[in-house]
Formats: sequence, C-alpha cells, structure tokens
Amino acid sequence: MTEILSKSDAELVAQRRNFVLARLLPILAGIAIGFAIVDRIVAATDTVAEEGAFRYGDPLLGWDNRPGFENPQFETKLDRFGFRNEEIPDDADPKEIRIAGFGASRLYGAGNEIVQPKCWNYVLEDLLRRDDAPSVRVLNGGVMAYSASQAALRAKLYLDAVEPDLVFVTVSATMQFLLDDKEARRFVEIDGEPVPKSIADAWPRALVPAVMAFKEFAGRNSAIVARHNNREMMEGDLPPGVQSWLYFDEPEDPAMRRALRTTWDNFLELRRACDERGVELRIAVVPTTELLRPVAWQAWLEENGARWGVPRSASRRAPIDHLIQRLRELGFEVWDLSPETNRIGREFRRFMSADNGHWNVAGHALIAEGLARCLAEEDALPRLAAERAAHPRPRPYGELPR
Amino acid sequence: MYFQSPEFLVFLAVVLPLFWMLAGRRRARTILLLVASYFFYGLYEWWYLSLIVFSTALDWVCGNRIHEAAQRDDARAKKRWLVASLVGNLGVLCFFKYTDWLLENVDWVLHAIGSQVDLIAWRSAHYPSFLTAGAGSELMPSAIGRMVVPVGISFFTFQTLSYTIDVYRGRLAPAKTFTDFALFVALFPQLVAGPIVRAVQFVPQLDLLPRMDTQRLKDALYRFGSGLVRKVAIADTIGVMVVDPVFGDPGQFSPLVHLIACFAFLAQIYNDFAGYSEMAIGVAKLFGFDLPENFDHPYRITSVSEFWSRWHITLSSWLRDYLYIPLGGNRTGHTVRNLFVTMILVGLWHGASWLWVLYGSLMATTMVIELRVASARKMRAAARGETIVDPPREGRPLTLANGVAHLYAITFVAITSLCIRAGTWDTFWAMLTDFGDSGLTRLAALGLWILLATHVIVYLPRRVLGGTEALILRLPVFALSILLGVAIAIAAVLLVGNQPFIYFQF
Repeated sequence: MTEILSKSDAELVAQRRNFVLARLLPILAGIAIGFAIVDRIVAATDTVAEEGAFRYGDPLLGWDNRPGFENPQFETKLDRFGFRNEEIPDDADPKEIRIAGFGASRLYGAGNEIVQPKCWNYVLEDLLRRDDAPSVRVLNGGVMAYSASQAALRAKLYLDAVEPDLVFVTVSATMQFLLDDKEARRFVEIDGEPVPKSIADAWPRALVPAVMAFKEFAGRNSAIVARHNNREMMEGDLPPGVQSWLYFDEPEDPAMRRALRTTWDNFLELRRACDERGVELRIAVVPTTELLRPVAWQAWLEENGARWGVPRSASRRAPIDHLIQRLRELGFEVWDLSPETNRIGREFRRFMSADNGHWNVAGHALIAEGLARCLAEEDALPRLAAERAAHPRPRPYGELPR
Repeated sequence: MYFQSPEFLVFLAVVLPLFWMLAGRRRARTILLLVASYFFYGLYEWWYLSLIVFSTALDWVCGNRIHEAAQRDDARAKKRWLVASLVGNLGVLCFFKYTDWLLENVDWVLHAIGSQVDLIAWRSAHYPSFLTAGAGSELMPSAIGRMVVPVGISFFTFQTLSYTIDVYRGRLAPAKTFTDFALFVALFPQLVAGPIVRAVQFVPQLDLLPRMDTQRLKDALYRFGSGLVRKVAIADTIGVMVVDPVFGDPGQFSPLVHLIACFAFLAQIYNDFAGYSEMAIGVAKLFGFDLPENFDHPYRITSVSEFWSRWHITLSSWLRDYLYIPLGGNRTGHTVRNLFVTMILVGLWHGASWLWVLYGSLMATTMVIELRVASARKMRAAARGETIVDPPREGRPLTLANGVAHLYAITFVAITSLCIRAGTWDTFWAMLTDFGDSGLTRLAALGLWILLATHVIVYLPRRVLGGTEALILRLPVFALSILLGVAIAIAAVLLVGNQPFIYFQF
C-alpha cells in the first residue's frame, strides 16, 4: 500500500474523480425531474392536501390547525384559533349563541369538492338563522386525522378562548376515533422546537432543523410527501389488524383496552370542564363509511369479522348501538346522526366525495340538517339563548390557549 | 437506515462526493468509508457497533496469529487460533440468535415434566433493557421481552469467518492493515443483508484505484433503481396486499388462495432480498467496488438442488466451501448426513425455530431423493452404454419433462416457504388445514396484478430481459437519472410505512 501515486495513476484518479463530481449535479437534477413528473401526476389525481394547515408538535394534541392558515384552492381561511370559520369579530354580540363542533377530517371539511363556505358549520349557521331567533355562531373545530380523544382534548383546550354555549364532539366506532394512540403524536423538543420523534430518532441532532424545514417545504410542494405525511398521521405504523378494529365491546388486548380507556377518560375530563363553565356537551355519533352500506359492511365482516369475534350475521347498527349505549352508561348525552348517514349510504355518490371517505357539498348540507334536527329535538336554542342572555360574554374571545 | 429511506439518500449524497474527493489517497478514503459504515450501522443501535468491532478485532488477531503460526509450521497454534475465531464469532452469533429459542424449548420441557420453573418470566426479569426489543407502539405490544437479534450479525459473522478460514487454509494472506480488514467486514452497502463477500473477493479491490466510467456509473444507477422498485413496488406491495391478509387470517380463504399466497410469498421474498442485493451492488459500484451477484433467476429451476445454486448464492457457496465439502461433500459415502447437516444449518442460519429446522430437513430430504434418482438414472443409462449429460442451466428445451420438473420444483419451493412466512406453528397448520370460502376477490387487485406480472417475468426468455436492460443502459446518464427519479417517486408513492427488508431479521 502506498500513499504516493505514480503520475499516470494520479492523472487517472483525477480523471475519474472529475468524472464523478461533474456528473453528481446532473444526476441529482435528473432524479429531481423524474420525481417531479410522478409528483405532478399524483397531485393531479390525489385529493386533500392542505398540508400547510398543520402546526405539529403540540405537547397535548400532537398536531393542530395553524391559526390564520389560508389556502385559496379550498377557499380555506382558518381563524385566529385555527377553526375553520369566519373570524369572531371584536364587536361580536355578547349574547350570541356559540356552538362548537370538534372532530376529524370529515368535520374539518376534507375532500377536493369542498370549499370552506360549503362546510357544515356555514350551512348550520344559515339553517339556524331566523329573524326572530338570537344570533348563532357555529365554530368548526375539526382537525384532520384526529381521534375522538384528541378532539375532546382540543375542545377542552379552547373552552375559555371561544366560550361556546354548546360543544359537540363527533365520534365513530372505529380505531381512528376510539383508540387513543399516543405514538401517533409523539414529539420531542429540540432547541425549543417540537420535532416528531421518528425524525429525532432517524437524524443526527444537528441536521434536525434542516430536515424539519425540508419536511415542511416538501409537505407544501410535493403531493407525494403530503400523501405520506397524511398516511403517517392517519395510520402510523399500526398493523392492519388494529386498523380494522370496530367497537363492539371492550377489546381483549390490554394495550387496546388501555387506549380506549384513555378516550373515555378524556371525554370525562371534557365533561368536567364543560360542567364547570356551564357549557353543554353532546357526543355526536357519526357512522363511518364501512357502516353506511350493506355491501361495505359485508365486506368488512368477511375480511375482519373473525379476527374480532363478530359473527357474519352482525347488524350494521351493532357497533353504533354498542357505542351509544356505552356513552350513555358513561352519562353522556348523545346525538345520533344515523338517519342522515343512512341516507348517505343509500345515495352514496350523491353525498360523498370522490375519495369515498369524506362528505361532499351535499353531504355537508345533510349533516348540517342532522345537527339542526338534534338541536331542534331538544329545543336547545331557546334554552341556550336564555342562559347566555343571563350571562353575556365579557369579551368577544379570549387568548390563544398555549 | 434502510436503502429506501430519505435518510440514506442524504447519507449517500454526503459520503459519495467526499469519497471521490479523497479518491487519490488510499488510506484516507478507506478510513472515510470505514467511519461512514460504522455510522450507518450505529444508526440501527449504537451498541451494535461493539459486536462488529469485537468480531473484527478477534479475526484480525486470529488471522495474523494463524499466518505467523503457518510461517513457523506450527499446526497446533494455527488450529488453536482458528478455534478461537470460531468459538468467538459463533458464540456471539449463537448468544443473540439462539438464547431465546433455547430458553423457550427448555421452558417447554420443564413444563411438560411438571416443573414450576418459569424461564420466560426469568428472562423478562433479567434481560437488560437494551437487549430486548421495545414496543414500537402502545398498540403493538409484540416482541416485548425477547432478545433483539442485531441486524446483519449473521452476514458479517460469516464474512469474518471466511477470512480466518481462508488464512488458515493458506488461500489468503492476512489483510495489510486493520482498517482494510475492518472495512471488508463493515462496508455499508452489504453490511446488513449481504451479499456475503469473502475477503479474497473484496480486500484486493482496496489496492486498486477506485474504478469509474460511464458504463459503471450507468450500471450503478440502474441497479439501485431496479432494486428500489423490486423492493417497494413489487415485494412490499405483494406482501401487504396478498401475503399478509392470507397469512394473517388463513381461515377466511380457500385452499387455492392459500396456495397462491405461498407463490406470492416467493415473489415477495425474492424481490425483497434481490432488491436489496441489487441496491447494495449498485451503491458499491458508485464507490468503485464490485460485489458478487447473489441470485441467478432462482425460480427458473427443474430441481430443488438447482434452486440452491441460484438462490442466495453467496450463502450457499459459503456453506458448500466451508461446511459441505469439508464434511466430505458427495464423495465420502456420507452424502445424506452432509446434506442434512448443511441444509439444517441453512435453516438455523436464517432463524432460531423448529419451523426453520423443518425447512432445512425438507430441503435436504428432497435433495437426497433428487440425488438418488439422478444417480439411478445415470447407472441405468451406463448399463445401456449411454451417458446422461446434465441439462444446461439456460436455454432448456420446452419439453413436457422439463415442464413437469419445473412445476414440481417451484411448487415444492413455494409450499416449503410456508415454514419461512408462517412464523408460528399455529399459522403453519392453519395454512395447511384451516380453509374458508373467500376467493381472490377479497384481495387487492393491484397486488394480484403485480404478482402475475412478476411470475410472467420469471418465464420471459433471458434475451428479452437482457435486451431490455441493455436498452435502458444505452440511455445517457442524465436520462437514466430521470428514470431513477421516476423509480424513487413510484417507490415513494407505494411505500407502505417503513417495511424492513425480510432478510434483515436473519
């Protein structure tokens, strides 16, 4: 072995080195072009990519909507709290009724066909607007990929900021809603900034800020990266077996039982916080896609029924009935939106977006009608109006809770 | 750090230019690659580095001592150092790979004879936390309490052993420097899942000036892209869409679907492992190194013996040269014993389980039968005064006999792969006996189409495959880079989580 090269060897090495180094940039450019071609195709076919709407690393929630986020594509303009509605004006009526809904992507209004002014909350506001009735403001606290547990935590977090008169949290009988997976929102703090644990584990600490900046940039500009981020949030690394779980009873697996317990605990915490403030709480049960149509339900049963000990004769209503029963046992008042979702199931294409998982414009209108029905059935507005008139808000809104 | 991860692309983008900047300085570029390789390996778990450093230091010392002993004709000292290397390396490998298995078996026997001793509880209480696999998620409590098998340990142990044995046999001079030897053991492209490189194949390359030209560069890009697509677009997709649903819930599916799932697993494991090998070969080429090929169309076979000459070639040739032939091979009248020992060790090399023992035994039994049948045919032919010539490996005529032989061999390989994929006896038996009435329509169509396409490719003539490859390699480097970008994007679209390579667990 020698460190001293002959002249011809030195020339040869220099020639090869220059050959490689001169081609590195063109190779990287070529790779970028190839990637971009596929990325644009994905962007043209994919639905929902409001990636920049999220603020990651909230120690309580994992991720949250970014206050003031705007996206002209979906006419999105989140308010100062990250709610998907008009800003609460400084001169808001101190006696106005505020109804705040919390949930996941459907409530947020995901789906390519949906622009913000067509979301359920705008429609509900219109439905509740009567000349002879007190003014009603409906706040949309939905956040993509949330579990019911996160939705409850978020509702509790914003109680003092938006001072609602009635809060509802949407829930379904699925893993995403009911099993609170803390792994999905594991963040660590690096240099004062929250960083997903997966990134902190994978990269040297010095590179983490650059990785985070790139991740955010890529999330905004690449459909493929946005798709991955969404999938990561929605499914994490959970095995498909767990993802197919539906609520029929307390799960046998101890980890899953613990996760379900956390959800109930967070609901109970929210109720305590609401009770302390005189805010009414409802849990709105909104069945998901697999429970909407007989065909989809049969497919689910065939594919997953045996795994969870669900007989093939099990009714489509069963998970919903079990869920409602459990919520009532825990002392919650429940809104059952099954009449509306059953109609969605019967006229699937009419009410669902092309991604098959979210409501389209007509679907949002129908859900808004359902919520209005629930409010009307318990004659809620006069009661809420009277309560609020007796205790007008001292300020239009509070501080961003952090 | 997986080859298909963005982290690896960044790692490569840093190490590759640095390497070529140091290309004229042999020592510096060797140290750079060694540091990079240790960094690459340390990212899995930093304490794994202690194992590779131990193995490297042990064989470096043993290799030198054996060489010195050979020079003074001290056969006993030579053997002593060889035994030290074997005991040290295999001891570490066995500790990590077989301790749990041993404990579980002893525990089973103790319970069977009515003992109250609970070795599994003892294990949970006494293993240090860094030795056990943690739960990836609260909702995934699998593998808690078992000892983790360090990634790549089976591969680098066999590499270092081949070095010491070759020095012992006088076929190889010891490496010139410790860094050369350490780099041979740890070179990152092949460190965690092979190919199993021998010192005689790699160490001399360190003395060469790093090689690079247009063809090599194109070859490197092509191999990396093709490996990536094979891993993510083919292996992972088939795995998630076809194999996992059936093996996860066998009782739902018809016998035909079970059989198809076995063939699907063949396609998955082949493309997963060959994909990794291709990426490893491609990445090594970027640094001017050549790694040995690990596959030679392993499903174009007419016998099980042939399968083992085309599948994981670097492992089967390792076992042939360092185990089977030293045991006597086909010549000593102990062919049956030698085959059984070798094939059961092939099984146990992959994993510590009775299913792997069964796998090795089935393979050995079949190979013995094949050997006997071939031998009987030859004897009958000889009695008739004829000579049977072994059929060519390529370009076999399309005869009924060849078709039947192929069908027998591929079906046998597919069905025995149950032992690999099942993981537990429950699943193994369920795949053989527990059937439902769900058909293929319950599985994702994309996965089935990809499965069909991969099996069609198996039967395409070599000239078609070679011609396509040659056509792609005729493209300019820039165009090839665009294709690589397309491959990366397709892989990114199809990527399902971070699916590890199947062979990482071995």
